[in-house]
Amino acid sequence: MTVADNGFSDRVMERIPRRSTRRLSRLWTIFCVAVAGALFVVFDGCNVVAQGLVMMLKTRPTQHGLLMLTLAVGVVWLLAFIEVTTRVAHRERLRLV
Amino acid sequence: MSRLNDISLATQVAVFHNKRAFDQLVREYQSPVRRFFLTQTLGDEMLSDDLAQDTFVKAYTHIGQYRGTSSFLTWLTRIAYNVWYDHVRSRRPTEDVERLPEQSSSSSASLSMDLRKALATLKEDERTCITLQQIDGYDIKEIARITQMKEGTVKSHLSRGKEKLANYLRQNGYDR
Repeated sequence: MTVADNGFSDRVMERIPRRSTRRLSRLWTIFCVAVAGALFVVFDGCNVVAQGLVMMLKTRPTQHGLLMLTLAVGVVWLLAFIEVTTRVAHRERLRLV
Repeated sequence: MSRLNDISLATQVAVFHNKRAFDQLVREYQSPVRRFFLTQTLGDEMLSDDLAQDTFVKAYTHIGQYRGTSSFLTWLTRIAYNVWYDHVRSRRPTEDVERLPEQSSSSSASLSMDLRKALATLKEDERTCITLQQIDGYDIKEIARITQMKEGTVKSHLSRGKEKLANYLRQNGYDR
């Protein structure tokens, strides 16, 4: 037995809560990116990264293992941080809706 | 609609709050959800639609919790079951399940009316299990997942419910 729609879906879509926090979330993201970019420029981030790369290339191959491990741990930590913050932000949004 | 497509649409809703994607899901699944409520409310269309709307609104606000481990319809039916369960709990004691909505008593509708009356003799849990199995076609495992009951409990609800239905229908001239 199929129940005919008869405008039911439209009525549901009218009742869907508006996500007012969405715009706020976007603004917050833009603000954070802008601050990060400004700090990168102020503290000469390019130079720091370049120096780090040169250091890495100049160091002995035996030290590369440790460096790679540190890098891998850093990447895993970063991914975990992103996942956790995304979940927290999502829960917060649900609470506010 | 394939499960992959459902997951894709649900992801679009969860991540980008894409209302068009959600609209597609509502149009696809409005029929089984409303049918579920129609059988639970014994044909009360207005109440069914209200509860079905609540179900979809809840699905929208909690869509991030859909992990794709079960079909979207199973996940939706679980929300529908919870909405129904909350409604039953909040219902005043004076509003009893025995109260059936008025229906036309034409001969063509008499069988469906008798079936509704038969369903009204069941307890809420029995009716839910019976309708999920007999009307929506879920197996015992899925019913257990939707209702959060143990499989053994679902089986006993089904068995008792079927027995009650058979007895009622037999007493009303539907003997084999």
